[in-house]
Amino acid sequence: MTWIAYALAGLVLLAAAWIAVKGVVRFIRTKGQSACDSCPYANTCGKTKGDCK
Amino acid sequence: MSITIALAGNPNSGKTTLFNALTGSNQYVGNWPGVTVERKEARFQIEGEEATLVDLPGVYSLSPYSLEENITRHFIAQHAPDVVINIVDATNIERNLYLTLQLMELERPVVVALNLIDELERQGVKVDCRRLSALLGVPVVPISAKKKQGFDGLFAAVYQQAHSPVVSYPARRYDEATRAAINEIVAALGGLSSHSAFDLDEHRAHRDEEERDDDHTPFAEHRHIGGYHDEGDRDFAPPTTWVALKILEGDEEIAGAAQLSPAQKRRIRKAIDAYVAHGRTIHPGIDQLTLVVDARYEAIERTLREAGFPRREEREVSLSDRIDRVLTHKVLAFPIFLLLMALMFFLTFGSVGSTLSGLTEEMMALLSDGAGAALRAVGSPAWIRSLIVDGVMAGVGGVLVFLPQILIIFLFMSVLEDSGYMSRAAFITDRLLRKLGLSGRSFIPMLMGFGCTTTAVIAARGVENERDRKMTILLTPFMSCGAKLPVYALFTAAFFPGNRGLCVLSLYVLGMMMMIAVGLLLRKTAFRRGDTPFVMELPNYRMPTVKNVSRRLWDRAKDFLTRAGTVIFAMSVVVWFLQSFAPDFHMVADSANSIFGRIGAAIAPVFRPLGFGDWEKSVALLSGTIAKEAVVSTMQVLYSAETTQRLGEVLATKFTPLSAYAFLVFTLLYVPCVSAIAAIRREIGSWRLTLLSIGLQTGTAYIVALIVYQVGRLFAG
Repeated sequence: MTWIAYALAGLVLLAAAWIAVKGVVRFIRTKGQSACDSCPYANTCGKTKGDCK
Repeated sequence: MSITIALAGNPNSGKTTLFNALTGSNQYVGNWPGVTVERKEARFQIEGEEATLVDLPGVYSLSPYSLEENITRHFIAQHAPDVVINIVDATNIERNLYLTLQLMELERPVVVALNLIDELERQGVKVDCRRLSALLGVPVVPISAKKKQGFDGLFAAVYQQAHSPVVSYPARRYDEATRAAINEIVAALGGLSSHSAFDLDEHRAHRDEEERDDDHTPFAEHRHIGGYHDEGDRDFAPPTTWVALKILEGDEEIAGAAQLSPAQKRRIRKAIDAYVAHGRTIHPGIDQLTLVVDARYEAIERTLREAGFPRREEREVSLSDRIDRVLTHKVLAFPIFLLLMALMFFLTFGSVGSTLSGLTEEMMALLSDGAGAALRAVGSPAWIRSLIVDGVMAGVGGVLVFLPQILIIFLFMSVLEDSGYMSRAAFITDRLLRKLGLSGRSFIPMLMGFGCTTTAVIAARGVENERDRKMTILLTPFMSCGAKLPVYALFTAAFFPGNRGLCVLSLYVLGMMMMIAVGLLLRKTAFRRGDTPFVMELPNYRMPTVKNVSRRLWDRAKDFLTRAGTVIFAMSVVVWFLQSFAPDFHMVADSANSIFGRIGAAIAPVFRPLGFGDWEKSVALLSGTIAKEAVVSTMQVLYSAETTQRLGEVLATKFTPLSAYAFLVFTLLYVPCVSAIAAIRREIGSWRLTLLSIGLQTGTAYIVALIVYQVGRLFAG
């Protein structure tokens, strides 16, 4: 049953690496604007996320 | 055929509400001027025909002095929409009709949608739309965008205008002197028969040989008013009367685009001089622009009088005015503002917020225990249990725990915003800032900084003056952004349980005070200049709708969960890896020997005078530059605390209340997250100023935290 733990760990590490690499690439490509994609605080300012793009 | 409809109106006149109601869109709506910064489009059916509705930014006039005005003016002048729906706030009709006249001057088919007619009727005013329509020369349709009333009439009028356009010539209602001056300039431009002062053939010749001749403005510039060049621009030449009016106002861009000959310039100068001289016999010292503005307002006043509208001051004092007598009172306004902020923080961080967060924490603890037990049951190695429980569950869970508190603060802010109070908050603080010599126009983006620094920096585009804009961008990060709330919640619960609200309020006020202090310093050094006049609209108070508020809360909760599941999740795993492995990639028993431990140990001495010179605290601050919530998740992982309550207990052994407050002050003021830094670089366009911003923030944070800790130590003995 230990394989379940290894599979889970592999999944977590892969997912984290994928999110990190994808995030960094998008961040560089969009010159930082991709950070607004899931910003829960942006609407407080009266702007929509579309305004950040 | 598809009908292109532009939606134009004053800020906060209900444009976005109408846009959403007509198209079924889900654009953000706020009782706050400036919701629409860029134009937005949506398709819908009108009388069975395909139509594209373009929501333009709210503007008070079509002068090209701000980004919003430029976008609106450019779209109407160059894209030549088939119909312009001009949404007019009936409760503020005098000022709203100013834009109406300017839209009509462009000789596009206009339909006036008279919004909030129900509110006006509650003030005891009966509106004769037919009479108003006859006087203005364009259809006037009463609507209530919020209640979706009057749309049939609006659709019928828009359809009619799209297929049998009727344009109006408002200049015919201006005073005699203005009309005479316009006629003289029109004659100098070659008369109305030429259709336009802009010779399209001439322009096309320039387009073919763009910039071939230094004596001529490049084609793109004189064809595209406002310097824009968009897809969809038509070879539409502005009407001669409009060009004449702009020249009479002193609009140099239009005068330059008209390519006047020396003889034309002389004749026009003579006409303008005569116009100004005549105006000065009545108002000494008046300029040409003010004379044209006066002419428009005089025409509006006369039109409304003839349509049977009572003057604003003759109307019953509205409820909004009565509330404003208290909320914007010279003496009471600021204490009330602080009181409301305090109430918000007491509710968020006091018993209500902490009880809800406690429940979430219990759930997270159950999940974490369950995961640990399940992993043990399957014979998982210790490092995998550590990764899942101490890394992912602790890191992500440590941030998720604060979701209820974040939602309470956003609920409060949504209600304040929807009710119209946020505009008053901007007005009250602007009044204070202007007394200190800071630009009032800059305050709106700064207020947005309470939400997100990145969007606030982008919103500074609306500040017309270059120096003010740069200064706004440099000052905005001093406002405490929403992502710092989990850090405040964690520390105040651990160190100041009886004064949580007060402690957070003190941080927000400190942020504003530092912004003012640094602003004054910049004003006296790098950004010396005079005051900029700033006109701000105070919208009527409105009852927030459950639908609007709940939709926004749902959006934020969704975004917060997404952020926790992506950025914070990845950060937690990275932090776990860096604190579990040594530089040679073997697992360490003591995290002080890990990669993070080594990095932290190198920078920790810098923070020692501030009262938090341990490597864990140093690297937590470092990871906060990716996302501020990561300060919490990093501490959760580094201190191997399964729950936030446990983390609070650990922190109580690592900090004193004084060093904890100094840490909060540093977190409040130090360099913003990488996304905000990227936005600053992009908007300010200079690495030198971006580095100045980073240095200014971190330097201020260091000095203030140092003062707090060292002075505090003197008092604490």
